[in-house]
Amino acid sequence: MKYGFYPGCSYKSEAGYKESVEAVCRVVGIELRELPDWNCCGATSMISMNAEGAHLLTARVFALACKEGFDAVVTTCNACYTALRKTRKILEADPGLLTDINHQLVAEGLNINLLPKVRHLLEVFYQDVDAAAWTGKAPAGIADITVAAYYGCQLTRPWGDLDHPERPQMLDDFIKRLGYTVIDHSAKTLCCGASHFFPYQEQCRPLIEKIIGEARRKGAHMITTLCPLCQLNLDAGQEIRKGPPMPIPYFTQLAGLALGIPPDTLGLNKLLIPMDILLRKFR
Amino acid sequence: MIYEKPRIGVYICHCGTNISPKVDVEAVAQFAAGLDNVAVARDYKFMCSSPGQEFIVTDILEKGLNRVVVASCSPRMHEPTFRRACEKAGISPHLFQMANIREQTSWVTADSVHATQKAKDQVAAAVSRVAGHAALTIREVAVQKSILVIGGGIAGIQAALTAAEAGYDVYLVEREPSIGGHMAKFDKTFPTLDCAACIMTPKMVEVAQNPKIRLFSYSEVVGVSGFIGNYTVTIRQKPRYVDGIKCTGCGECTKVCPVTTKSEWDMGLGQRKAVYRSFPQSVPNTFCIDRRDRAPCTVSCPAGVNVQGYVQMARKGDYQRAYDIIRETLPLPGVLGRVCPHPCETVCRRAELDDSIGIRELKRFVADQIDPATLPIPEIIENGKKVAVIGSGPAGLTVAHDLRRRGCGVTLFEALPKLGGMLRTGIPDYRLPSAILDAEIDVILRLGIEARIGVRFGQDLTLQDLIDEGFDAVFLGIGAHGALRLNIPGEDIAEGVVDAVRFLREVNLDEGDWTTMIGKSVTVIGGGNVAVDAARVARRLGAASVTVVYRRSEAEMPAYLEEIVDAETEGIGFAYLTAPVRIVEKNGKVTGLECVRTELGLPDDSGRRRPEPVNGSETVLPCDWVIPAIGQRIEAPWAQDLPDLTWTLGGTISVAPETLQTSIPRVFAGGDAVSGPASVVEAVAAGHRAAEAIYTSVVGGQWKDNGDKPKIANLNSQSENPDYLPIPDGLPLAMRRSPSHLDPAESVQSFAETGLGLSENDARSEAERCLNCGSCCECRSCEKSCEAGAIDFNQSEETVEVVVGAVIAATGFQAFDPTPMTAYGYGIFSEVYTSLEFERLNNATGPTAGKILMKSGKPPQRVAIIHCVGSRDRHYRKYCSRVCCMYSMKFAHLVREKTGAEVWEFYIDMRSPGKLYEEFYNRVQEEGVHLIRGRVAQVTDIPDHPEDAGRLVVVAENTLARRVLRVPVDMVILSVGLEPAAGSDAVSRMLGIQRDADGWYNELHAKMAPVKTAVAGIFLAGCCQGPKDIPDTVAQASAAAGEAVSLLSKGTVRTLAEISYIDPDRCSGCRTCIDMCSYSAISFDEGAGVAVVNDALCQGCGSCAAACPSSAAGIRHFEDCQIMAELDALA
Repeated sequence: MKYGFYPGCSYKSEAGYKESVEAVCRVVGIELRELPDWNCCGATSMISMNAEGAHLLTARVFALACKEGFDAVVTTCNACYTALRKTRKILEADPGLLTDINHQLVAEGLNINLLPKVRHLLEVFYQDVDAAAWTGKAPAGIADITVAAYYGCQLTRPWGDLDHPERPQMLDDFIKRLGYTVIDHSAKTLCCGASHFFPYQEQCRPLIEKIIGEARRKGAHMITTLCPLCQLNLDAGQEIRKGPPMPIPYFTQLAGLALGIPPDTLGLNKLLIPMDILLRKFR
Repeated sequence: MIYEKPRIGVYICHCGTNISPKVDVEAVAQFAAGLDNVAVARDYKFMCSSPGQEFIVTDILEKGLNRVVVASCSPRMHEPTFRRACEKAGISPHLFQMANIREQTSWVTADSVHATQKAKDQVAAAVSRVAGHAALTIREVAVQKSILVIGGGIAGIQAALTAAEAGYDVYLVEREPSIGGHMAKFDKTFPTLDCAACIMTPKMVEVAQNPKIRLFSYSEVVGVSGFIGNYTVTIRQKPRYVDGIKCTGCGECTKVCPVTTKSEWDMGLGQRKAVYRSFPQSVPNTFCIDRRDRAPCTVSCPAGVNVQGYVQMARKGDYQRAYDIIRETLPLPGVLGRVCPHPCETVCRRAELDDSIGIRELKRFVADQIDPATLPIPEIIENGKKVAVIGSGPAGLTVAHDLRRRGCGVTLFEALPKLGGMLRTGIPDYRLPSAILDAEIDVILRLGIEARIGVRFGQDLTLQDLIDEGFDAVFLGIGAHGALRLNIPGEDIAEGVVDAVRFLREVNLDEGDWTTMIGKSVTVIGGGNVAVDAARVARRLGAASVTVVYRRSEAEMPAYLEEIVDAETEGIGFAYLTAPVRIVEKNGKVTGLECVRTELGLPDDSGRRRPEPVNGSETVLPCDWVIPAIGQRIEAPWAQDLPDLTWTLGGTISVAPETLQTSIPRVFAGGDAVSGPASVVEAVAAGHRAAEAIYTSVVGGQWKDNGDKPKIANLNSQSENPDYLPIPDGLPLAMRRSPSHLDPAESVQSFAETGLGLSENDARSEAERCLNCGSCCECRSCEKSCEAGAIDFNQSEETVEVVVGAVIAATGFQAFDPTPMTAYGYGIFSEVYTSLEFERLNNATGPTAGKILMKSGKPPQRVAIIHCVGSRDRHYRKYCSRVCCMYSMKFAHLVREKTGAEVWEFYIDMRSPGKLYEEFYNRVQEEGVHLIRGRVAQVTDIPDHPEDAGRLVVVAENTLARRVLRVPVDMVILSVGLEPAAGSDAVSRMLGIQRDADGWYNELHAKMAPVKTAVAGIFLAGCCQGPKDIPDTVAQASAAAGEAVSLLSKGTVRTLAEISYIDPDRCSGCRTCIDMCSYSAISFDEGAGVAVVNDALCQGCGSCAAACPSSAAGIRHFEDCQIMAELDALA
């Protein structure tokens, strides 16, 4: 299976996201073809400051996908996912704007002939890959590890079509499919503070505490995320937190472990809160 | 009819200031005066008033008018008024026409010049139309002085009592087992805090006792036809399986019922038995058995064993009763508990949750608890008939058992020295110990069955001998004891080849010297259970190595997986995709088996992929013994002596499928001899069917040679959408208990039984996992416990037809289901309740006996009540449900009073209009309830402070204080709104009444006719018309009864005159109109070849007139010429 891949700005520098995505995709037979010369999506900030510029920025990514012949763009970041979907929705509803943008893209020889679909890698793993591909290789003892699935605020909202906007289930089901024990909890879609963490630490710390505290209360050994910003905030934000640390692996890292890929290949050593104690549960 | 030139009077109404001054009424009157045929035209302030009507009457009388037009409001509003005025003056009410210049003109036209012009056009059209009107015949018909009330809540009860008091016969239909509706579930009622039961139950009792009321509980109206004054109503009564006259309501049945499920009456917070009564004050006070479709396990059992029944008895520890239930349809419980292929487990619904119930092991456990020798011999009433049963396998034993129990003399003939057939010779002792088989056969023989062993049919005994001996019927249950041949070279070698059937038979009967197998190498050919049995027996006889050779792969192997697994643990090898080519010999002794590797090709007739040999892959498997086990056939060397017996191409006995009778009269056959090799339980099933057929024909006297064949009832019919008890949410997973097994190393040393059965603890836990799909498990414990003899499992659904003059719909409401509003956590957090759930929690007959307790059993310290859940919300129900503010405050008061807990009420607006309602609001405020104006955003279990862990946090904006509140509480009550009751749409369709966009029934007029509907003779009471509280409901119900009584008290009603007719000269007899008519008012006159309208049934809808291809159908008062005249004037 071949997909047009939009990695987004934080993908490569993040704690093992790239390593684990690549390792897992290799095993389950997914080819992510990075769009050449891609640019920043503008995230949520640009669209609120300069909507026109933000649309053009994102539209260029769509045009690149069209050029490469992809009918879908896969992302690994919730902020990219929501920024791309937002622009796509606006362009879909406003053919005039799309024409304007296409005029501007001509300078680069680009054109959006068909708006590509926007998909998160989780969706691809869960829906496109045969469920059997994830099972059978899990190390013994995997069911002893309890995981809280954390979706963040931008994957299911405001769309509500990928999953339930308030009580999503897809990541829970995926992690369950891998063989882990999944813990239900009430912080699945709470905001982690996102990009506000640096300017507003005081206000953001309680948000992190809420998510980690909830997962701990419900008995989770770890929280798995599917967004680099969530991961960074929850992982680094525990620095001055009281209480036992909570590892924050990516869903791709947990998938890799379940497929029997060695921890180092998955970049697990890059997590700030180490997973070592937990990995010993594997027999 | 004498033609009369039209003389028309036209009257233009000002309607106060509603029509004039927007319409220049004087100008319109002036215009009208100039129209053709108009004799007089006037305008007046209120035409509908007494002086207004007087103009019309006087003009008709004095000016000789014969037609009238009034231009005013809508016909729905005042057409009857003006028609009455016409009648009063002596002209037909149908010689009147109305022009609606208010709703259609003055209210909706901005410009007064345009409005006046439009009004003139309308008047011209009406004048043109009325000229062509004809006086129609108005008939009066007698009415039925009886009333149907649909729904037995407080509205239906009140309406029924009021009408009955007036002397009318009332039929009250309620779909639940008890009347009472929602109100009977409440504890207190606002604002006076009367106890709901105290004011409700006397009325319920009155309904039961009033001789004028006939109550149909647990019943539904399924059809309404007819017309005002004469409605024919079809009522379907669901069976309660309890006789309402005999039942004393003592409740002994619930004590013995093993099935427990959630109580719908207690909103799932409490439990009830499968035999139950909603609440102790139920009316009628008759119990009811919740009997649904039979559980899939029972339906799937070829022998029809009531699986759910014996599983429940095992759960209760009543093993004797469990055994009895099994034995009702299965004479060999211990045998089948060991060797049944358990189709029941395949269909078990528990597998949707975790894993199927271990049903066969439970059967074995139950059988192991009972010593068959202790079973009493039932009394047998001899019927004097004699039946010979040939063969003592499972089919023959079942036939013998069934027929003997029913009084036939039965003689069993068995060729071998021991009884049991294939059970004896085919199944090795380690799977089925002979002691078990002996004991169960003994029970059957003890019924008084003669067994003649060592008598071979066709050799020692012929059919003629049996006829001579006076047998009335013969059953051939001879089994399939011959082996199929391999047809490969070397098969007839003297030493070292033995077919599996013979091999197993001889070992089982202790014949032959099998010490020759010790230390030898054995190859078994085949993939069925017989092959695996032979292999495991060979291993037990001391063979050093045993290999099973099978030409397909493991997936296609027909042997049961558990047998294969057991064989593997015993060290038996399996060579798949290997086919035998020839048996290799040396000096007349087997030395090996030459095999070829196979590959699987396309599927063959059996659906399995055909093995195809791979050329050049031949190898020789060295071995001392070859045991072919490739299939069995019927052995009947006597066949040529019985030329009348027909055989199938497959070599089995040919029988009539329904009766199992062979081509020879009075000779029946079943089991493997008919089906080919099959399972024990299938043979038992065949035995039951044959016994039934033999009994019906031989004893029942239905016998006609090959003619009138007795029919066998189908034991198990499966409905398409089975109604099973739902699997409860949040049921904890429980893994299946497996029995222990002998250690394989030990088990291969002897023929001791390998399976050790379940322990009692495991068996009880296993039975505990049963989901009780059918609800009632038909164990019939209640039947035994009922001293009044009220339990009646033979009840069936009944349909009753009644004729009534009027119908009162009182179908009520249902509470909004807040599950989709995930932010409020209903169904997620256990301490979030709906208001109806809280009513039960608060009720003295509820699950907590009226104590307000959390699931933990402790009283709450802080309670939140959230208003408008599902109401006033454009995503769900946009309207206000009217009762929630008041009942929420009632809850607040009760929580304060009973627990002293802090109460936080979150409201949008407080709505307390009603007598003493505002006063109640003030009282609750004074009781210290926190009233927060603000809609709740979220209920979460994430605490803000560690000390609140375990509580729920309610997040809301206090819009008066302009700040966000986060209130930790122990319990949340969602004040859910009201919506139309499920099924009310079907009732509205049956009655032909309209519903509004929200689904509530439409009243005829919001103010002036609040309990009438647009269909004459059908009235509304209670919440079916819209949300309302108890006082309003009772008032409206009394009003509905009053309207119905007032309609019927005259004794006659006028029938509709504007109905259709069919011109017989034009009718082509195509019958299109008959299909179109929703009222079944058109029938076909076969003699004349034309369609005929029944004037009494026609509702004047006009479908026939529109559909008629030859324009033979028309509708009076809406004739083409009349409508065209109206349009012509507008053009």
